[in-house]
Amino acid sequence: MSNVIKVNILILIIVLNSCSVKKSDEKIQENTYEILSTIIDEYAKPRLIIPPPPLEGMSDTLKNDRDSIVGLLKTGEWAQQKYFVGLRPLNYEWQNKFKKSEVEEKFISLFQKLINRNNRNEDIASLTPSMIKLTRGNIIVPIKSQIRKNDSIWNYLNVLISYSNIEFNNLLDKAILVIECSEAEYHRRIILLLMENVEGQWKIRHEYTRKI
Amino acid sequence: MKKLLNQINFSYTIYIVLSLFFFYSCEKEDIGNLSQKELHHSFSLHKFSDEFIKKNLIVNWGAYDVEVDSSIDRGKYLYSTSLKVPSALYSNEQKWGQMYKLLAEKDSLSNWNYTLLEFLSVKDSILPSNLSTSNTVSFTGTLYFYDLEGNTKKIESYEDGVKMTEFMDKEHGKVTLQSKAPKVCGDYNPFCEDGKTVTYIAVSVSTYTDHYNVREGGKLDYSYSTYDGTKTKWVAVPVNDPEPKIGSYVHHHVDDPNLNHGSGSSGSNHPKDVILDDSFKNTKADCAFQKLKKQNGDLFKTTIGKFIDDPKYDLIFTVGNCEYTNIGCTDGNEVGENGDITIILEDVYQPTLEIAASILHEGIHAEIYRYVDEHTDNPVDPKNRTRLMELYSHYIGIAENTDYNITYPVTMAQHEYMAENYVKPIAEAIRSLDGNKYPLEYYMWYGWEGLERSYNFNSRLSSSDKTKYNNYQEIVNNNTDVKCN
Repeated sequence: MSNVIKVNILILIIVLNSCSVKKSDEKIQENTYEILSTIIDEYAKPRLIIPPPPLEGMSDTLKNDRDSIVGLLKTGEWAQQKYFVGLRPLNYEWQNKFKKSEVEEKFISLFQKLINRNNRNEDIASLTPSMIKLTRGNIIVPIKSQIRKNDSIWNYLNVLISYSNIEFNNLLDKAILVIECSEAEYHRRIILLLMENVEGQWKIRHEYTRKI
Repeated sequence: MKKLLNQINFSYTIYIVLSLFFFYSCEKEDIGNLSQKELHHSFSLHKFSDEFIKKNLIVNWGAYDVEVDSSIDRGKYLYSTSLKVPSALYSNEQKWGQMYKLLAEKDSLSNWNYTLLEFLSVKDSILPSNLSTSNTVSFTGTLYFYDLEGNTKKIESYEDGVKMTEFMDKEHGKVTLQSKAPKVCGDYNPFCEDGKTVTYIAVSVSTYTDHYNVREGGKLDYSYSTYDGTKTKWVAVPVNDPEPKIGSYVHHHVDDPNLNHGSGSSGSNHPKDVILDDSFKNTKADCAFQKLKKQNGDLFKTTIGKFIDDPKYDLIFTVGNCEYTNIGCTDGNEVGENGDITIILEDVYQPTLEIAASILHEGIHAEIYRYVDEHTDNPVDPKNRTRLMELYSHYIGIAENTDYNITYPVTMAQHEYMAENYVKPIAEAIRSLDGNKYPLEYYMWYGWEGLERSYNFNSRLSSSDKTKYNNYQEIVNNNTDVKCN
């Protein structure tokens, strides 16, 4: 075989290999957005708080509230109410909140890899909000600055979701990540999520919740 | 001459008697002195699968019988045993007396082999101490042979001392109530004669250790139980017994062996109660629970304490995952079927006082489940909790319209009820646990936590209240002496 042919084959291999890497990166990015869409739909949805009936002997000051909520229930529109969802990379030391022993066995190696990435202080990829496809009318608000406890932004946000890197298995049908989900400055949760792709749809298989 | 002969005969007899005596003594001494250490070193129950046996069986190394096995020409040593707590096996229809003995024998390589024998008598609650494999006297029941890992090696059944059946347990003791009953009367069974047959039934025994508070004057009152595992075993039903019975499920309670309350049982074992699951034991949540129990405040007594007084219901504490994103939850789905209510604590990494508040919060849920179940068929309400029933019917009524997609009406009702009645009691309980270090305001957030999605929370607390209480809680958590690791 002439040297020219050898060089051509080598170039072909390099090109094919770089294509497959590119394809794999693209796939991971695509799945990352799909997972975040699932998570936001799950955690950022309105909850109706229905007033109780009046206490005996008390005047019914909540009647209007109750009627308006029952009205909302009747139309079903409340479920489509817009939610302002703050989104940012996770900046919280979560490693000690979860133990390897409590993680479902088939996710343990992914969990370990996620911890390793976290220990290496790997940057968390920043995302393009428009790539997140939501099934509800939520509005994504990318958050870049620090949020303090008494920050006024809490008055505007319905939910703040912070996400870690996502660790996928080779088949891209299992994934693991940690999110912080806060409905208010005093109601913060850190959640380890085991995700599974079932028939092309990412679903939350298991969630481990800790208060922070 | 005759006198001399008589004297020789007498001396000879004395000599024989003394020789026999010494020979016999030496044989006893032989095992007693030479092999006692060997026995102690090579025997251990730490791998035994039955937690009750592992924790409570004591071998009386000084009390043994020698059984000569002519087929191998070696001695077998049968040791008596005792249990730290009294034990018996019983179902609704039957009670079996229980006795354990340890059989030790040397193999051809001079290694000690052990078999634990379990005699389960159908007739006698107290079994004769001289019972052995070669002296079955009038024993009627089942004899189990276990290895030191708790696997069943062999099962025999006896009627009035006569062996009726013998079989090797193919499942090695890993029997469940669904396991197929062993066939013990067939061609292979030489003991099955004259149409005699023995039926085996499965008996599943869940063992619990009951713990007590020692009050003034040594008086004991029941506190809680720990679950030691469930074991299912085959038990022979006598030949002349009527129709075969289906398997039974048995709760077996024993007193805390570390409790020094004199001899025997306290006599107040509880058939149903507060049970700490294995997943809960020795966790931070367990430690917080013990602190609340020790304090035994009003809220604890009137919620979790209710399960202690009511034998119809079990309250089970576990550590695990709640179905939805919660740090703790209470499962009352089975209360109508078997009286079980399970509290699941998911986050056991919280500060100790917050875990204690979570326990109280879930304990209130559990008590409400118990109360509602108790009064579903019995509308007479001694405590007149009409408000609770009103909230139930209000939220369940709304949820009955499937178009509304309300999934947790019971939780909604319970949370509103708790917000109306229990926020301050939880705050007071945690304050008291903390030694009343700060004013009550500092503890209010412990009472409100978990109720964030209630109408009361959103209507009664202003934004500044929420921030203030939340900050106060942080101060308390950072300065409390109540800590669990």
